[in-house]
Amino acid sequence: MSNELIALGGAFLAAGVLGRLGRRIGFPTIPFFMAAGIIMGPNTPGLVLIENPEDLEVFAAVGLIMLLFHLGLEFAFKDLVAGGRQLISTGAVHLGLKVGAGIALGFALGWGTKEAFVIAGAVGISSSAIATKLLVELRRLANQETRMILGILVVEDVFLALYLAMLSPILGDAETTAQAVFQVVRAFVFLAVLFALARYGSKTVGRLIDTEDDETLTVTFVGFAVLVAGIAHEMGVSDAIGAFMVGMILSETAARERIERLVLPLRDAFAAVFFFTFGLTIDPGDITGVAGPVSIAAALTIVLNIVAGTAGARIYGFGRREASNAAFTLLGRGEFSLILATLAAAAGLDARIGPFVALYVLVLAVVGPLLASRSEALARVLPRIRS
Amino acid sequence: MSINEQDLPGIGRRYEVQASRGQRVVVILHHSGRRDLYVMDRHREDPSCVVELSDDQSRRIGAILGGAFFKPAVVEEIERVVGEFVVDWVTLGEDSPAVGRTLADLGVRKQSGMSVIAIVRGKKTITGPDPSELLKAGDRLVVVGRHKDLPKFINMVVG
Repeated sequence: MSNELIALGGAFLAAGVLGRLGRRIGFPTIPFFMAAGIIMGPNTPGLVLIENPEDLEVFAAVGLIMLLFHLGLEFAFKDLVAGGRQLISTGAVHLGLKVGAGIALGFALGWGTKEAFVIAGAVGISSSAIATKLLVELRRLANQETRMILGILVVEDVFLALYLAMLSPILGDAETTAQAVFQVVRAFVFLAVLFALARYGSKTVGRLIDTEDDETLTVTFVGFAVLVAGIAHEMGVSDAIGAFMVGMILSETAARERIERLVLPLRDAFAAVFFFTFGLTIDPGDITGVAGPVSIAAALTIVLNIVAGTAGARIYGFGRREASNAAFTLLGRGEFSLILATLAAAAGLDARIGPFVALYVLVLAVVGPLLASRSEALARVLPRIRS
Repeated sequence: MSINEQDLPGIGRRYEVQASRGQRVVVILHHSGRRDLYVMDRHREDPSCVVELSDDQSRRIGAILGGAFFKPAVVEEIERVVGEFVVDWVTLGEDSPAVGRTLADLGVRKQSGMSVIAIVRGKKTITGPDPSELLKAGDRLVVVGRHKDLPKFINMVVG
Protein backbone atom coordinates (compact mmCIF):
# COMPACT_ATOMS: atom_id res chain seq x y z
CA MET A 1 0.00 0.00 0.00
CA SER A 2 2.63 2.52 1.02
CA ASN A 3 4.60 1.71 -2.14
CA GLU A 4 1.65 2.62 -4.32
CA LEU A 5 1.04 5.83 -2.40
CA ILE A 6 4.65 6.86 -2.83
CA ALA A 7 4.41 6.03 -6.54
CA LEU A 8 1.20 8.02 -6.97
CA GLY A 9 2.38 11.01 -4.98
CA GLY A 10 5.70 10.98 -6.81
CA ALA A 11 3.87 10.82 -10.13
CA PHE A 12 1.78 13.89 -9.30
CA LEU A 13 4.80 15.82 -8.04
CA ALA A 14 7.12 14.90 -10.89
CA ALA A 15 4.44 15.83 -13.43
CA GLY A 16 3.74 19.07 -11.59
CA VAL A 17 7.38 20.12 -11.35
CA LEU A 18 8.20 19.32 -14.97
CA GLY A 19 4.92 20.80 -16.21
CA ARG A 20 5.69 24.05 -14.39
CA LEU A 21 9.16 24.11 -15.85
CA GLY A 22 7.63 23.76 -19.31
CA ARG A 23 5.12 26.55 -18.67
CA ARG A 24 7.94 28.80 -17.52
CA ILE A 25 9.60 28.55 -20.92
CA GLY A 26 6.34 28.67 -22.85
CA PHE A 27 5.57 25.06 -23.69
CA PRO A 28 2.34 23.09 -23.21
CA THR A 29 1.98 20.87 -20.14
CA ILE A 30 0.79 17.57 -21.66
CA PRO A 31 4.10 16.51 -23.28
CA PHE A 32 5.96 17.50 -20.11
CA PHE A 33 3.70 15.33 -17.93
CA MET A 34 4.51 12.49 -20.31
CA ALA A 35 8.23 13.29 -20.23
CA ALA A 36 8.11 13.15 -16.43
CA GLY A 37 6.79 9.60 -16.79
CA ILE A 38 9.57 8.63 -19.19
CA ILE A 39 12.25 9.98 -16.83
CA MET A 40 10.78 8.39 -13.69
CA GLY A 41 10.01 5.10 -15.39
CA PRO A 42 11.85 1.79 -15.38
CA ASN A 43 13.37 2.36 -18.83
CA THR A 44 15.67 5.26 -18.03
CA PRO A 45 18.74 5.34 -15.79
CA GLY A 46 18.58 7.30 -12.57
CA LEU A 47 15.67 7.46 -10.19
CA VAL A 48 13.09 4.76 -10.81
CA LEU A 49 9.98 5.86 -9.01
CA ILE A 50 7.67 3.27 -10.50
CA GLU A 51 8.90 -0.16 -11.44
CA ASN A 52 5.58 -1.31 -12.75
CA PRO A 53 3.29 1.02 -14.73
CA GLU A 54 0.33 -1.23 -13.82
CA ASP A 55 0.44 0.18 -10.28
CA LEU A 56 -1.08 3.38 -11.59
CA GLU A 57 -3.39 1.71 -14.10
CA VAL A 58 -6.68 2.51 -12.36
CA PHE A 59 -5.75 6.13 -11.74
CA ALA A 60 -4.65 6.58 -15.34
CA ALA A 61 -7.93 5.03 -16.51
CA VAL A 62 -9.85 7.53 -14.37
CA GLY A 63 -7.79 10.31 -15.97
CA LEU A 64 -8.75 9.13 -19.45
CA ILE A 65 -12.41 8.89 -18.38
CA MET A 66 -12.36 12.43 -16.95
CA LEU A 67 -10.74 13.82 -20.11
CA LEU A 68 -13.39 12.32 -22.36
CA PHE A 69 -16.22 13.05 -19.92
CA HIS A 70 -15.28 16.73 -19.92
CA LEU A 71 -15.06 16.71 -23.70
CA GLY A 72 -18.55 15.25 -23.95
CA LEU A 73 -19.84 17.81 -21.48
CA GLU A 74 -18.46 20.69 -23.56
CA PHE A 75 -19.64 19.08 -26.77
CA ALA A 76 -22.11 21.44 -28.38
CA PHE A 77 -23.70 20.58 -31.65
CA LYS A 78 -25.03 24.12 -31.82
CA ASP A 79 -21.47 25.47 -32.18
CA LEU A 80 -21.14 23.34 -35.28
CA VAL A 81 -24.47 24.54 -36.65
CA ALA A 82 -23.69 28.17 -35.76
CA GLY A 83 -20.48 27.96 -37.80
CA GLY A 84 -22.52 27.29 -40.93
CA ARG A 85 -21.32 25.99 -44.25
CA GLN A 86 -18.03 27.92 -44.06
CA LEU A 87 -17.02 26.11 -40.89
CA ILE A 88 -18.12 22.68 -42.09
CA SER A 89 -16.16 22.98 -45.33
CA THR A 90 -13.08 24.40 -43.60
CA GLY A 91 -13.19 21.64 -40.98
CA ALA A 92 -13.63 19.04 -43.71
CA VAL A 93 -10.56 20.34 -45.54
CA HIS A 94 -8.46 20.23 -42.36
CA LEU A 95 -9.62 16.75 -41.36
CA GLY A 96 -9.56 15.37 -44.89
CA LEU A 97 -5.97 16.46 -45.48
CA LYS A 98 -4.55 15.52 -42.09
CA VAL A 99 -6.42 12.31 -41.38
CA GLY A 100 -6.03 11.27 -45.02
CA ALA A 101 -2.30 11.85 -44.83
CA GLY A 102 -2.23 9.96 -41.51
CA ILE A 103 -3.84 6.88 -43.09
CA ALA A 104 -1.49 7.07 -46.06
CA LEU A 105 1.50 7.36 -43.74
CA GLY A 106 0.18 4.51 -41.60
CA PHE A 107 -0.05 2.17 -44.57
CA ALA A 108 3.29 3.35 -45.93
CA LEU A 109 4.97 2.41 -42.66
CA GLY A 110 3.67 -1.10 -43.15
CA TRP A 111 2.95 -1.80 -39.49
CA GLY A 112 -0.50 -3.16 -40.29
CA THR A 113 -4.04 -2.07 -41.14
CA LYS A 114 -5.28 -1.55 -37.58
CA GLU A 115 -2.11 0.39 -36.84
CA ALA A 116 -2.72 2.63 -39.85
CA PHE A 117 -6.18 3.57 -38.56
CA VAL A 118 -4.75 4.51 -35.16
CA ILE A 119 -1.96 6.58 -36.72
CA ALA A 120 -4.56 8.39 -38.86
CA GLY A 121 -6.23 9.76 -35.74
CA ALA A 122 -3.05 10.35 -33.76
CA VAL A 123 -1.56 12.41 -36.58
CA GLY A 124 -4.79 13.97 -37.82
CA ILE A 125 -6.47 15.40 -34.72
CA SER A 126 -5.09 18.56 -33.09
CA SER A 127 -5.05 19.06 -29.36
CA SER A 128 -7.89 21.37 -28.31
CA ALA A 129 -6.22 21.97 -24.96
CA ILE A 130 -2.93 23.11 -26.46
CA ALA A 131 -4.47 25.25 -29.22
CA THR A 132 -6.88 27.01 -26.85
CA LYS A 133 -4.13 27.79 -24.34
CA LEU A 134 -1.91 29.14 -27.13
CA LEU A 135 -4.63 31.51 -28.32
CA VAL A 136 -5.08 32.88 -24.79
CA GLU A 137 -1.35 33.24 -24.19
CA LEU A 138 -0.52 34.80 -27.55
CA ARG A 139 -3.36 37.27 -26.90
CA ARG A 140 -5.18 36.42 -30.06
CA LEU A 141 -8.69 36.04 -28.66
CA ALA A 142 -9.86 39.23 -30.35
CA ASN A 143 -8.50 38.25 -33.77
CA GLN A 144 -11.03 37.53 -36.48
CA GLU A 145 -9.57 34.11 -37.34
CA THR A 146 -9.78 32.89 -33.71
CA ARG A 147 -13.42 31.97 -34.08
CA MET A 148 -12.57 29.92 -37.15
CA ILE A 149 -9.75 28.13 -35.29
CA LEU A 150 -12.02 27.29 -32.35
CA GLY A 151 -14.67 26.16 -34.84
CA ILE A 152 -12.21 23.77 -36.48
CA LEU A 153 -11.49 22.31 -33.03
CA VAL A 154 -15.24 21.74 -32.59
CA VAL A 155 -15.41 19.93 -35.94
CA GLU A 156 -12.45 17.80 -34.88
CA ASP A 157 -14.19 16.92 -31.60
CA VAL A 158 -17.26 15.74 -33.50
CA PHE A 159 -15.05 13.69 -35.76
CA LEU A 160 -13.21 12.28 -32.74
CA ALA A 161 -16.46 10.98 -31.24
CA LEU A 162 -17.43 9.18 -34.45
CA TYR A 163 -13.89 7.95 -34.96
CA LEU A 164 -13.63 6.51 -31.44
CA ALA A 165 -16.95 4.72 -31.92
CA MET A 166 -15.71 3.18 -35.17
CA LEU A 167 -12.28 2.34 -33.84
CA SER A 168 -13.46 0.00 -31.07
CA PRO A 169 -14.77 -2.73 -33.37
CA ILE A 170 -11.70 -2.29 -35.62
CA LEU A 171 -9.41 -2.90 -32.66
CA GLY A 172 -11.58 -5.81 -31.50
CA ASP A 173 -10.12 -9.31 -31.25
CA ALA A 174 -12.74 -11.13 -33.31
CA GLU A 175 -11.45 -14.27 -34.97
CA THR A 176 -14.36 -15.17 -37.22
CA THR A 177 -16.56 -12.94 -39.33
CA ALA A 178 -19.65 -13.86 -37.31
CA GLN A 179 -17.87 -12.83 -34.13
CA ALA A 180 -16.82 -9.55 -35.70
CA VAL A 181 -20.36 -8.82 -36.86
CA PHE A 182 -21.68 -9.63 -33.40
CA GLN A 183 -19.17 -7.28 -31.78
CA VAL A 184 -19.95 -4.44 -34.17
CA VAL A 185 -23.70 -4.86 -33.67
CA ARG A 186 -23.36 -5.05 -29.88
CA ALA A 187 -21.18 -1.93 -29.83
CA PHE A 188 -23.58 0.05 -31.95
CA VAL A 189 -26.65 -1.06 -30.01
CA PHE A 190 -24.94 0.08 -26.81
CA LEU A 191 -24.00 3.42 -28.36
CA ALA A 192 -27.52 3.84 -29.75
CA VAL A 193 -28.96 3.31 -26.24
CA LEU A 194 -26.62 5.95 -24.81
CA PHE A 195 -27.40 8.29 -27.68
CA ALA A 196 -31.15 7.87 -27.15
CA LEU A 197 -30.58 8.59 -23.48
CA ALA A 198 -28.74 11.79 -24.39
CA ARG A 199 -31.49 12.81 -26.78
CA TYR A 200 -34.63 11.87 -24.85
CA GLY A 201 -33.70 10.90 -21.32
CA SER A 202 -31.61 13.84 -20.15
CA LYS A 203 -34.48 15.28 -18.09
CA THR A 204 -34.85 12.07 -16.11
CA VAL A 205 -31.10 11.68 -15.72
CA GLY A 206 -30.88 15.32 -14.68
CA ARG A 207 -33.47 14.75 -11.95
CA LEU A 208 -31.61 11.68 -10.74
CA ILE A 209 -28.20 13.27 -10.39
CA ASP A 210 -28.95 16.92 -9.72
CA THR A 211 -28.83 17.89 -6.07
CA GLU A 212 -28.51 21.19 -4.27
CA ASP A 213 -25.09 20.60 -2.84
CA ASP A 214 -21.90 20.24 -4.85
CA GLU A 215 -20.60 17.36 -2.78
CA THR A 216 -23.21 14.75 -3.68
CA LEU A 217 -23.41 16.04 -7.25
CA THR A 218 -19.66 15.44 -7.69
CA VAL A 219 -19.83 11.97 -6.18
CA THR A 220 -22.79 11.06 -8.39
CA PHE A 221 -21.44 12.26 -11.72
CA VAL A 222 -18.04 10.67 -11.14
CA GLY A 223 -19.79 7.40 -10.32
CA PHE A 224 -21.99 7.64 -13.40
CA ALA A 225 -19.06 8.37 -15.72
CA VAL A 226 -16.78 5.64 -14.36
CA LEU A 227 -19.56 3.02 -14.26
CA VAL A 228 -20.73 3.62 -17.82
CA ALA A 229 -17.11 3.69 -19.02
CA GLY A 230 -16.62 0.30 -17.40
CA ILE A 231 -19.79 -1.14 -18.93
CA ALA A 232 -18.76 0.32 -22.30
CA HIS A 233 -15.49 -1.54 -22.01
CA GLU A 234 -17.36 -4.79 -21.24
CA MET A 235 -19.56 -4.21 -24.31
CA GLY A 236 -16.52 -3.97 -26.56
CA VAL A 237 -16.71 -0.22 -26.98
CA SER A 238 -13.80 1.70 -25.48
CA ASP A 239 -14.21 3.23 -22.01
CA ALA A 240 -13.24 6.51 -23.67
CA ILE A 241 -16.38 6.66 -25.80
CA GLY A 242 -18.54 5.54 -22.85
CA ALA A 243 -17.26 8.44 -20.75
CA PHE A 244 -17.73 10.81 -23.67
CA MET A 245 -21.38 9.76 -24.04
CA VAL A 246 -22.05 10.27 -20.32
CA GLY A 247 -20.63 13.78 -20.63
CA MET A 248 -22.92 14.38 -23.59
CA ILE A 249 -25.97 13.11 -21.66
CA LEU A 250 -25.19 15.38 -18.71
CA SER A 251 -24.52 18.36 -20.97
CA GLU A 252 -28.25 18.40 -21.72
CA THR A 253 -29.20 18.68 -18.05
CA ALA A 254 -29.67 21.78 -15.94
CA ALA A 255 -26.64 20.83 -13.82
CA ARG A 256 -24.28 21.20 -16.78
CA GLU A 257 -22.55 24.40 -15.73
CA ARG A 258 -22.00 23.24 -12.18
CA ILE A 259 -20.59 19.91 -13.35
CA GLU A 260 -18.30 21.74 -15.78
CA ARG A 261 -16.89 23.73 -12.90
CA LEU A 262 -16.61 20.75 -10.54
CA VAL A 263 -15.01 18.31 -12.98
CA LEU A 264 -12.10 20.57 -13.94
CA PRO A 265 -9.83 19.98 -10.93
CA LEU A 266 -10.56 16.24 -11.07
CA ARG A 267 -9.77 16.15 -14.77
CA ASP A 268 -6.55 18.14 -14.38
CA ALA A 269 -5.24 15.92 -11.60
CA PHE A 270 -6.11 12.50 -13.04
CA ALA A 271 -5.33 13.43 -16.66
CA ALA A 272 -1.80 14.34 -15.50
CA VAL A 273 -1.48 10.83 -14.04
CA PHE A 274 -2.74 9.41 -17.33
CA PHE A 275 -0.08 11.27 -19.35
CA PHE A 276 2.55 10.34 -16.76
CA THR A 277 1.60 6.66 -16.87
CA PHE A 278 1.77 6.69 -20.65
CA GLY A 279 5.29 8.06 -20.30
CA LEU A 280 6.22 5.19 -17.98
CA THR A 281 5.56 2.67 -20.74
CA ILE A 282 7.92 4.40 -23.15
CA ASP A 283 11.48 3.13 -23.46
CA PRO A 284 13.73 5.91 -24.82
CA GLY A 285 15.75 3.15 -26.48
CA ASP A 286 12.79 2.48 -28.78
CA ILE A 287 12.48 6.12 -29.71
CA THR A 288 15.55 6.14 -31.94
CA GLY A 289 13.95 3.36 -33.97
CA VAL A 290 10.97 5.55 -34.85
CA ALA A 291 12.88 8.82 -35.41
CA GLY A 292 12.59 8.46 -39.18
CA PRO A 293 8.82 7.93 -39.32
CA VAL A 294 8.29 10.69 -36.74
CA SER A 295 10.28 13.27 -38.71
CA ILE A 296 8.29 12.40 -41.82
CA ALA A 297 5.02 12.65 -39.86
CA ALA A 298 5.97 15.98 -38.26
CA ALA A 299 7.10 17.50 -41.55
CA LEU A 300 3.94 16.25 -43.24
CA THR A 301 1.79 17.73 -40.45
CA ILE A 302 3.45 21.15 -40.75
CA VAL A 303 3.11 21.27 -44.53
CA LEU A 304 -0.52 20.09 -44.49
CA ASN A 305 -1.41 22.54 -41.73
CA ILE A 306 -0.13 25.36 -43.93
CA VAL A 307 -2.12 24.03 -46.91
CA ALA A 308 -5.28 23.57 -44.82
CA GLY A 309 -4.80 26.93 -43.11
CA THR A 310 -4.51 28.65 -46.49
CA ALA A 311 -7.57 26.84 -47.85
CA GLY A 312 -9.57 27.79 -44.74
CA ALA A 313 -8.50 31.42 -45.02
CA ARG A 314 -9.67 31.46 -48.61
CA ILE A 315 -13.07 30.05 -47.63
CA TYR A 316 -13.43 32.74 -44.95
CA GLY A 317 -11.99 35.53 -47.12
CA PHE A 318 -9.02 36.07 -44.82
CA GLY A 319 -5.46 36.99 -45.78
CA ARG A 320 -2.24 35.02 -45.36
CA ARG A 321 -1.64 36.45 -41.90
CA GLU A 322 -4.79 34.71 -40.65
CA ALA A 323 -3.92 31.59 -42.64
CA SER A 324 -0.55 31.44 -40.93
CA ASN A 325 -2.00 31.97 -37.44
CA ALA A 326 -4.51 29.16 -38.00
CA ALA A 327 -1.94 26.80 -39.49
CA PHE A 328 0.55 27.08 -36.65
CA THR A 329 -1.89 27.30 -33.74
CA LEU A 330 -3.39 23.95 -34.74
CA LEU A 331 -0.02 22.15 -34.85
CA GLY A 332 -0.09 20.90 -31.25
CA ARG A 333 -0.86 17.22 -30.65
CA GLY A 334 -1.62 16.01 -27.15
CA GLU A 335 -4.44 14.34 -25.29
CA PHE A 336 -6.16 12.65 -28.27
CA SER A 337 -2.98 11.24 -29.75
CA LEU A 338 -1.93 9.81 -26.38
CA ILE A 339 -5.40 8.34 -25.78
CA LEU A 340 -5.23 6.62 -29.16
CA ALA A 341 -1.75 5.25 -28.43
CA THR A 342 -3.06 3.87 -25.11
CA LEU A 343 -6.02 2.20 -26.85
CA ALA A 344 -3.61 0.72 -29.39
CA ALA A 345 -1.37 -0.67 -26.65
CA ALA A 346 -4.39 -2.16 -24.84
CA ALA A 347 -5.49 -3.86 -28.07
CA GLY A 348 -2.01 -5.37 -28.48
CA LEU A 349 -1.12 -3.51 -31.66
CA ASP A 350 2.43 -3.01 -32.96
CA ALA A 351 4.61 -1.88 -30.04
CA ARG A 352 6.21 0.85 -32.14
CA ILE A 353 3.02 2.95 -31.98
CA GLY A 354 3.71 4.03 -28.38
CA PRO A 355 7.18 5.47 -28.95
CA PHE A 356 6.10 6.85 -32.32
CA VAL A 357 3.24 8.86 -30.82
CA ALA A 358 5.32 9.90 -27.80
CA LEU A 359 8.11 11.35 -29.92
CA TYR A 360 5.66 12.90 -32.38
CA VAL A 361 3.80 14.66 -29.57
CA LEU A 362 7.09 15.86 -28.03
CA VAL A 363 8.43 17.21 -31.32
CA LEU A 364 5.23 19.13 -32.11
CA ALA A 365 5.04 20.36 -28.51
CA VAL A 366 8.33 22.17 -29.05
CA VAL A 367 7.91 23.14 -32.70
CA GLY A 368 4.23 24.16 -32.43
CA PRO A 369 4.48 27.04 -29.93
CA LEU A 370 7.76 28.23 -31.48
CA LEU A 371 6.14 28.54 -34.91
CA ALA A 372 2.82 29.84 -33.57
CA SER A 373 4.44 32.72 -31.71
CA ARG A 374 6.25 33.71 -34.90
CA SER A 375 3.36 33.00 -37.24
CA GLU A 376 2.93 36.64 -38.22
CA ALA A 377 6.50 36.87 -39.48
CA LEU A 378 6.14 33.47 -41.13
CA ALA A 379 3.02 34.69 -42.93
CA ARG A 380 5.25 36.79 -45.19
CA VAL A 381 6.85 33.73 -46.74
CA LEU A 382 3.48 32.06 -47.43
CA PRO A 383 1.90 32.44 -50.85
CA ARG A 384 -0.52 35.33 -51.22
CA ILE A 385 -4.18 34.41 -51.04
CA ARG A 386 -6.33 35.45 -53.95
CA SER A 387 -9.94 35.86 -52.98
CA MET B 1 -23.81 52.09 -31.07
CA SER B 2 -23.68 48.46 -32.01
CA ILE B 3 -22.30 45.68 -29.87
CA ASN B 4 -21.18 42.61 -31.76
CA GLU B 5 -21.60 39.44 -29.73
CA GLN B 6 -20.15 36.01 -30.59
CA ASP B 7 -19.60 32.63 -28.97
CA LEU B 8 -16.04 31.37 -28.65
CA PRO B 9 -16.47 27.59 -28.27
CA GLY B 10 -14.44 26.27 -25.37
CA ILE B 11 -13.50 29.73 -24.13
CA GLY B 12 -16.55 31.88 -23.55
CA ARG B 13 -18.15 34.90 -25.23
CA ARG B 14 -16.71 37.76 -27.21
CA TYR B 15 -18.18 41.28 -27.30
CA GLU B 16 -16.91 43.95 -29.64
CA VAL B 17 -17.73 47.61 -29.05
CA GLN B 18 -16.87 50.51 -31.33
CA ALA B 19 -15.00 53.20 -29.37
CA SER B 20 -14.12 56.74 -30.41
CA ARG B 21 -11.60 57.61 -33.11
CA GLY B 22 -11.81 54.26 -34.83
CA GLN B 23 -10.69 52.25 -31.84
CA ARG B 24 -12.45 49.03 -30.96
CA VAL B 25 -12.74 47.40 -27.56
CA VAL B 26 -13.11 43.63 -27.45
CA VAL B 27 -14.24 42.02 -24.20
CA ILE B 28 -13.68 38.29 -23.73
CA LEU B 29 -15.81 36.70 -21.04
CA HIS B 30 -14.15 33.41 -20.08
CA HIS B 31 -16.25 30.53 -18.72
CA SER B 32 -13.92 30.65 -15.72
CA GLY B 33 -15.12 34.17 -14.87
CA ARG B 34 -11.92 35.82 -16.01
CA ARG B 35 -12.28 38.78 -18.41
CA ASP B 36 -9.83 39.97 -21.06
CA LEU B 37 -10.03 43.47 -22.44
CA TYR B 38 -8.45 44.02 -25.87
CA VAL B 39 -8.07 47.52 -27.25
CA MET B 40 -7.61 47.54 -31.01
CA ASP B 41 -6.42 50.64 -32.85
CA ARG B 42 -7.71 51.58 -36.27
CA HIS B 43 -5.89 49.82 -39.15
CA ARG B 44 -3.89 47.72 -36.71
CA GLU B 45 -4.27 43.97 -36.55
CA ASP B 46 -2.55 43.52 -33.19
CA PRO B 47 -4.18 44.72 -30.02
CA SER B 48 -2.51 47.90 -28.76
CA CYS B 49 -3.18 46.77 -25.21
CA VAL B 50 -4.58 43.75 -23.40
CA VAL B 51 -5.81 43.74 -19.80
CA GLU B 52 -6.59 40.58 -17.84
CA LEU B 53 -9.13 40.98 -15.06
CA SER B 54 -10.59 38.73 -12.39
CA ASP B 55 -14.34 38.58 -11.87
CA ASP B 56 -14.19 40.96 -8.92
CA GLN B 57 -11.87 43.44 -10.62
CA SER B 58 -14.07 43.64 -13.70
CA ARG B 59 -17.18 44.30 -11.60
CA ARG B 60 -15.48 47.20 -9.87
CA ILE B 61 -14.25 48.68 -13.13
CA GLY B 62 -17.69 48.15 -14.61
CA ALA B 63 -19.22 50.09 -11.73
CA ILE B 64 -16.79 52.97 -12.21
CA LEU B 65 -17.44 53.09 -15.96
CA GLY B 66 -21.19 52.96 -15.35
CA GLY B 67 -20.96 55.89 -12.93
CA ALA B 68 -22.30 53.75 -10.11
CA PHE B 69 -19.22 53.71 -7.95
CA PHE B 70 -19.40 57.17 -6.36
CA LYS B 71 -22.89 56.75 -4.99
CA PRO B 72 -22.99 56.13 -1.28
CA ALA B 73 -23.23 52.46 -0.43
CA VAL B 74 -26.72 52.89 1.05
CA VAL B 75 -28.14 54.21 -2.18
CA GLU B 76 -26.50 51.45 -4.16
CA GLU B 77 -28.10 48.95 -1.82
CA ILE B 78 -31.53 50.56 -2.05
CA GLU B 79 -31.59 51.10 -5.78
CA ARG B 80 -31.00 47.49 -6.60
CA VAL B 81 -33.57 46.60 -9.20
CA VAL B 82 -34.84 43.05 -9.28
CA GLY B 83 -36.64 42.34 -12.54
CA GLU B 84 -39.55 44.72 -12.87
CA PHE B 85 -39.48 45.53 -9.15
CA VAL B 86 -37.67 48.50 -7.75
CA VAL B 87 -36.55 49.62 -4.33
CA ASP B 88 -36.27 53.42 -4.21
CA TRP B 89 -36.30 56.21 -1.72
CA VAL B 90 -37.91 59.66 -1.72
CA THR B 91 -37.53 62.69 0.58
CA LEU B 92 -40.54 64.71 1.66
CA GLY B 93 -40.22 68.49 1.14
CA GLU B 94 -41.87 71.24 3.31
CA ASP B 95 -44.86 71.42 0.99
CA SER B 96 -45.19 67.77 -0.01
CA PRO B 97 -48.85 66.65 0.06
CA ALA B 98 -48.03 63.82 2.46
CA VAL B 99 -46.63 66.01 5.23
CA GLY B 100 -48.87 65.97 8.30
CA ARG B 101 -50.83 62.94 7.12
CA THR B 102 -50.55 59.21 7.77
CA LEU B 103 -49.88 56.35 5.35
CA ALA B 104 -53.35 55.02 6.15
CA ASP B 105 -55.33 58.13 5.27
CA LEU B 106 -53.22 58.71 2.16
CA GLY B 107 -54.10 55.16 1.09
CA VAL B 108 -50.62 54.81 -0.40
CA ARG B 109 -50.80 51.12 -1.13
CA LYS B 110 -54.30 51.19 -2.56
CA GLN B 111 -53.84 54.34 -4.63
CA SER B 112 -50.32 53.87 -6.01
CA GLY B 113 -49.57 50.16 -5.62
CA MET B 114 -46.28 50.96 -3.81
CA SER B 115 -45.46 49.95 -0.23
CA VAL B 116 -43.48 52.03 2.23
CA ILE B 117 -41.15 49.62 4.02
CA ALA B 118 -39.14 52.10 6.12
CA ILE B 119 -39.00 55.73 7.15
CA VAL B 120 -35.64 57.38 7.80
CA ARG B 121 -36.21 60.30 10.13
CA GLY B 122 -33.02 62.08 11.11
CA LYS B 123 -30.85 59.46 12.78
CA LYS B 124 -33.76 57.15 13.48
CA THR B 125 -34.97 54.49 11.08
CA ILE B 126 -38.50 53.16 11.45
CA THR B 127 -38.69 49.80 9.71
CA GLY B 128 -42.11 48.41 8.87
CA PRO B 129 -43.84 51.67 9.87
CA ASP B 130 -47.30 51.58 11.38
CA PRO B 131 -49.98 52.85 8.92
CA SER B 132 -50.91 55.48 11.53
CA GLU B 133 -47.39 56.99 11.57
CA LEU B 134 -47.58 60.75 11.00
CA LEU B 135 -45.27 61.84 8.16
CA LYS B 136 -43.04 64.87 8.60
CA ALA B 137 -41.10 67.14 6.25
CA GLY B 138 -37.59 65.80 5.73
CA ASP B 139 -38.71 62.17 6.16
CA ARG B 140 -37.11 59.80 3.75
CA LEU B 141 -39.44 57.01 2.67
CA VAL B 142 -37.99 53.71 1.46
CA VAL B 143 -40.47 52.29 -0.96
CA VAL B 144 -40.83 49.04 -2.88
CA GLY B 145 -43.06 48.20 -5.82
CA ARG B 146 -43.31 47.94 -9.55
CA HIS B 147 -41.20 50.28 -11.62
CA LYS B 148 -44.20 51.68 -13.49
CA ASP B 149 -46.02 52.61 -10.28
CA LEU B 150 -43.17 54.78 -9.02
CA PRO B 151 -44.11 58.07 -10.79
CA LYS B 152 -47.69 57.83 -9.47
CA PHE B 153 -46.36 57.37 -5.94
CA ILE B 154 -43.92 60.27 -6.18
CA ASN B 155 -46.64 62.51 -7.56
CA MET B 156 -48.98 61.59 -4.74
CA VAL B 157 -46.54 61.76 -1.81
CA VAL B 158 -43.76 64.19 -2.75
CA GLY B 159 -45.76 66.39 -5.10
